[in-house]
Amino acid sequence: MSIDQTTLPIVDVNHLTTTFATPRGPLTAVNDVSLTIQRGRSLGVVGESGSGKTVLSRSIIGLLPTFNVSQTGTAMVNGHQVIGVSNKQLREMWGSEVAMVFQDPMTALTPTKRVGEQIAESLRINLKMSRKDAKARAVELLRQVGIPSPERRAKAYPNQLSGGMRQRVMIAIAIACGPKFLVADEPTTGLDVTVQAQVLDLIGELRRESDLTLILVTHDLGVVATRTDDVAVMYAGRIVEQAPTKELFANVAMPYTKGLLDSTPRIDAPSHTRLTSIDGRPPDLVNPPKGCAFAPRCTMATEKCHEERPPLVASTLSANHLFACWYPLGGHAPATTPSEQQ
Amino acid sequence: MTTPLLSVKDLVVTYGRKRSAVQAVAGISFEVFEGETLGLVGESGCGKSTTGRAILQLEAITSGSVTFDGTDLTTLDREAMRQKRSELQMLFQDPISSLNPRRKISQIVAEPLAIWNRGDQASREQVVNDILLEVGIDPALAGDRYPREFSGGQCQRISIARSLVANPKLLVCDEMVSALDVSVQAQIINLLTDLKQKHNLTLLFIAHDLAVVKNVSDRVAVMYLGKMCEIGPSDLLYEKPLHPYTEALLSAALVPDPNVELNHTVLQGEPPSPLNPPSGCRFRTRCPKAQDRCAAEVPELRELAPGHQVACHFPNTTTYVTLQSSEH
Repeated sequence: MSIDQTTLPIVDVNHLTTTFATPRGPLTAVNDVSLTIQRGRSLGVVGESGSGKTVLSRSIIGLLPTFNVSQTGTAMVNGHQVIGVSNKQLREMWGSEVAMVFQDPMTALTPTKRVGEQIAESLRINLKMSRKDAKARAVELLRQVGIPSPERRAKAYPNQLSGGMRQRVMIAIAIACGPKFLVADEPTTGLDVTVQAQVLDLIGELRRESDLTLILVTHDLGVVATRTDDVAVMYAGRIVEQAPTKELFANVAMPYTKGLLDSTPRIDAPSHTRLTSIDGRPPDLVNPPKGCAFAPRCTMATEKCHEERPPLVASTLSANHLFACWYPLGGHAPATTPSEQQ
Repeated sequence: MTTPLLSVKDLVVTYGRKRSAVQAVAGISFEVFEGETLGLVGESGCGKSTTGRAILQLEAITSGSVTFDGTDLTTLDREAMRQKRSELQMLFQDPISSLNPRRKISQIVAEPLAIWNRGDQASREQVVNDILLEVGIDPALAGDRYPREFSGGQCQRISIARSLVANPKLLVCDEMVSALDVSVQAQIINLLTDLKQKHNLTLLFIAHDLAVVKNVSDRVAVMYLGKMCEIGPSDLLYEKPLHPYTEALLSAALVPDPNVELNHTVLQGEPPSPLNPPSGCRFRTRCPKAQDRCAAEVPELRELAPGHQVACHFPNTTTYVTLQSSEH
């Protein structure tokens, strides 16, 4: 009689809003976000600093501080409700079903514990392994994430490893208990390009081997383009465009997404190609603008954009291409308000 | 050929002493010509930042020479170097921490003028206002504010204003856009390009981002573990890299286009410790083409085509020959 879990989306977020209480007033970091992720897919979440991409990914797995945070909406992950649930309940899911790879492995790892022990810890807690078995499995996991001489490295402290190695250790901890869903928050930011390629390849391999679902949070459009199935572009706490990766890059609808692409220097463009920058900077989320949040920086904005916020709608060209814009690019029909749709 | 504005010869910078001595820069030579932008790329720990700092004599140089505008800076005494320094300025990665948090913006930008005793109070004010306007900061609104009130991009604009106020000839930019979001990064890159033209600047642009370096540079130099691998004109070097390391770096760089095939020659492992660098060619431990000769003999930087130099025993010349013949 139970619903077959495998056909349901592994992540189902509805009207999720996360607000932080700040001395200046409430700051809505994630504003009315809805999204679903099917099993085995990878979703790239892109945006600039402060766009809410990290808060969104952490909200989805319930990994937020308990003070000064209020949340509305729902988020279901692998059949568990995440919003408004105690940490004790979330702990049943953390580690064994969902796991996270943090941006800065130096601060995310315990500096005073050997990395082998840190991996073994979650095995002993979640899988109730014996000390000895957990230790052996930790070495095995280090080998799996491509760390040379894992027996020796298991005894190392985080500060004795390079940045790339530390990120591999983080990934080993994340996959230790066989999670179904992985959130990677800027996993390669701060790593050199050759090491970045190694780490992204590793995540790709793990996904193929164990059918992992992935949220990849990044500011790097190159990472998104080459490593994800779907993309969500965030701006000022909202998803402003979402589509399968190939569809998005082939037919951008939002002027903001276009602006991001045009301001990114490309290795395949000739030297001294003039970049088109986006003037200004993102709005203050304590006092967000009334209409479209991007309107103050948008070259195509009209009075309507400043007055009325466009809803996230499906394109008439492709049903799984969503955007929030009154004047979309690429031949998409403009967003319509619910009253106009009737 | 014009004479170079900056000429670095056999530069060696060593940190630490005796057994813990690290040659962060292990004998590199290059030139920067007047009015050009030379990009310096490489992974963390390759010595690119040390090189930049050594040019400004901010690091003690073990051996080698840095000739700027006809003067060997390594021979100057403290005072003479201090006098010279107004002609060489540096821009840093973290714009907020490189501005004094207790000073107002107008004071920060005016400070070089006070140090060099240029002009009187009124003319200084005028110069500061002009330069702030040029970098896109309104002096009337911003002058009396403090760095913490500005975003990273704005602080980088203020840093640029401060560096330009003394009329330098050479700017050393060390990862100056790496901490910024792409939209702001593009603003700063465009600003720098415009100011370079207007003020007739020469730039040494140090960064790890290959796409950014290609965009701003006329020529690009690639470093690995304290050594120079390759120097060449930007477009040519990116299209036809001669050094296997340059090739690997370029193949690992990502293009924001899902239709571009990922076929990176993934380099195995990570750079070896500079405490104990490999003999011969320093890249040989990770190089797919390494042979016995690479371990025995240090490859010297040699010119394979006009302006395109490489330090490799087995450079990727085949593509180069076909490229040249196809041009005829």
